[in-house]
Amino acid sequence: MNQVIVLHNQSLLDLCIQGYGNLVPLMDLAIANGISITDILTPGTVLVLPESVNQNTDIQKYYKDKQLTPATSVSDATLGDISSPDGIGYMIIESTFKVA
Amino acid sequence: MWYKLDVYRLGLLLLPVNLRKQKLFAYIKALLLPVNDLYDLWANNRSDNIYKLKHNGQVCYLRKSLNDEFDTTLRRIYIGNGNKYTRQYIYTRAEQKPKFLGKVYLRSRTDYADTGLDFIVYVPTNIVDTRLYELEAWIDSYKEGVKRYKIEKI
Repeated sequence: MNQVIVLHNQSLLDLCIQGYGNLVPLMDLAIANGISITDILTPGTVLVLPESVNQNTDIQKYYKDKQLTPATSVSDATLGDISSPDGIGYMIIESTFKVA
Repeated sequence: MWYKLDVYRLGLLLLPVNLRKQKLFAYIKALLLPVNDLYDLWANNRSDNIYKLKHNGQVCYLRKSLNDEFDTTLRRIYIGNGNKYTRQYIYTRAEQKPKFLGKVYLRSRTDYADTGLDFIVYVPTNIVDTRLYELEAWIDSYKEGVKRYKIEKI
């Protein structure tokens, strides 16, 4: 059973891509580690990568060879920013609504 | 745990980073709303079932669950024992055992030890008036099969 260390701003989806090359084993990964697939992970945590038949070796190898580690998680703050309403009634002059 | 899910966050995580903008995310959220509702339904059902399994017909648990459900803030519902009066036996003439009756009370069938109730649920009047059937169903689902009870207004 392999292990992986969580890097800054990585989500479980990133780790799944990094470890297996696709998202099919995502649920197995979550169950093996006792966390939710959308949990915010703490950097430095060691997670186990259970054996899985669903591996896309091409993509896995691509990430490994190029030494790429996807880190595309969203923090609560970003999620709040993105989900805040937009438009008339919510825009603030000179802040979100620029008068040219 | 793995069964917890933030549907909207998942939607955002599955979007490519350069597409994570307000308007597209609002659209994605609209699409995900039914999924989120379904998940909420399931999660509520799960916690309801766990609540149900954590309580049983013991007086302390029954009282707690009744108060949780029907009288959340004031918690006035309580449970008392059934009355266990003994019956006064009046001998027949042939038995030739005279007995002075003294003061005799007329009581309901349910107040005697042999035919009576096991417990009485004391419930504030307005709750009995408005939610009687719900209350009965709630007690019936928790009490043990052989136990008899009545609801008394306080």
